[in-house]
Amino acid sequence: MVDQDLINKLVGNVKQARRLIKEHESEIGIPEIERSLRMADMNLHWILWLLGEAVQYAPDIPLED
Amino acid sequence: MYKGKLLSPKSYQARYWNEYAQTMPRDKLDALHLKRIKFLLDYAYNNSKFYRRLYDRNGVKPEDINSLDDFKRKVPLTDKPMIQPSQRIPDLPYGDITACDDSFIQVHYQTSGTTGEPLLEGWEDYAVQRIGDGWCPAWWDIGIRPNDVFYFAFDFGAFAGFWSALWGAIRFGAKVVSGAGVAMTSGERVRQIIWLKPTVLVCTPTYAFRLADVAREMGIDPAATSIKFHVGAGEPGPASISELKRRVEASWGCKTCEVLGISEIPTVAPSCIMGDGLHEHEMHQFAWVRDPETGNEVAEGEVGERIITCFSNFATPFINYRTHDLVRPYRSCPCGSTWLFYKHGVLGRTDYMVTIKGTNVYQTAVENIIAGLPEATNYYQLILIRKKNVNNLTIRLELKRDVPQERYDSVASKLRSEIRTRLGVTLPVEVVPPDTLPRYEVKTKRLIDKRPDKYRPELARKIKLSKQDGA
Repeated sequence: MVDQDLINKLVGNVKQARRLIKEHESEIGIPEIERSLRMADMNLHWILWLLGEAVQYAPDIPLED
Repeated sequence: MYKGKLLSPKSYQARYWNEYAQTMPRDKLDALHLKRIKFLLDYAYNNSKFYRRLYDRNGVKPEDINSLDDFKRKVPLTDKPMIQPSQRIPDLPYGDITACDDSFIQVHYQTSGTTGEPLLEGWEDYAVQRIGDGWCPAWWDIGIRPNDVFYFAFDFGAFAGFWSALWGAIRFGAKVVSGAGVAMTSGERVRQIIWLKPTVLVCTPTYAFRLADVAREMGIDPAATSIKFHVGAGEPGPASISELKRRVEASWGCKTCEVLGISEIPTVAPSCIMGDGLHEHEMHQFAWVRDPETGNEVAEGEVGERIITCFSNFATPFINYRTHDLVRPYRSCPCGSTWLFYKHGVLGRTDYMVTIKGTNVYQTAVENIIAGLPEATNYYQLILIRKKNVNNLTIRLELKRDVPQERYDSVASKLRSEIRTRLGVTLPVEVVPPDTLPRYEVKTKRLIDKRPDKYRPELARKIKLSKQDGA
């Protein structure tokens, strides 16, 4: 059985992690680090997608969240 | 020596690859589909010239769609021949269906072009990762774990199919051994299996038989090798043809699974743990099943065409796309997954459901019967011709090497009789000597349509016409 409380907590933390990544992504100016941040964000987006949270198809496409 | 763990003990004990997604209640899934579809319609309408033109021509606006029923009834279907001609537009290699800047596209694939001009496919990195992940539920179900070793027994080429399995295996956390390369004969591959001891064999079922034959010729029992699992794709596999499943499993002493894909779209339907069908991957796509004649959604348990809307490729959106795969859908499955279930996988193709003397004959129905014949090999062809204004389907078949030639007629007669009993139609059977028919590594071509163009399937005809017109 899936623990819904654990899922909710995870969703919140993943959204926060994405916000933190976004803070650095466009400012860091180190290509290797920026690409790694973008890949990390892609994987975080995938987590939200698989948990039924994300609606926009890719991290780069803006939407409400 | 460092001993890390690829997954936590709790995850290793999980019944599903993703229980949360695979058992999501239907009402929640449908609500999610609607939200994602509404987003996609809006995105495609505003970014893809193809969809703007299509929807304007049909008087549909994204905001008109407020239920899944609206979506099924109002949004026009799309099909391969509609997309292909626009791929000839200069500076738009993937056609005007493309919805994003070319800089997002990181991987190029293309279809084999066996029915006409190849369809070009541009995928973002994310699409590649997602489709790779789509294989994993089937792997997890039959017991494959990240500590397994995958052996890819084919050349990769420009065809997306097994590339996606490679991406999936890496994402899954498994070790990958490539059997690709021009110097890799089947014998070399058998030697690699013996030497490197992979546990998962990835190839078409046909090639799994071929490799098993070669192993035996080398004095090696394939069932005694390290292979514990077979992963198939590229042709109807164990979920569609139960006898094929039994024979692959007996040959290699392994468990089998498969994934249904479509060469032009990053979408997958992994096989079910129960072994007799496929599940729609409802995190990758929304699907419904349509009566090809009335256009209405079929009832549960009735055969129709699988129509999909892909969520995994924002470069090239595929919305209400005709797969031409005939399936029998169920909304529940004893395995516990809530994802749409297709009993016995793909039953045939809308473009290759052939009417023989008034009886609709599906390719896989014939293949299932052939596979059940103890004397039969996996090397056969279904030759379709037009004679005296009716379709005629002839089976050409190789038998096992130990079947003496004097038994060929009696085996052919037995197969004819079995087909007549089970399908209600008589098909000629021609037994040919061993090694007569072509061998394939990928995309085994079994149905050979030799009819004049006007009798060929609508899809193949349209593609050929668009090629001739230079449209």
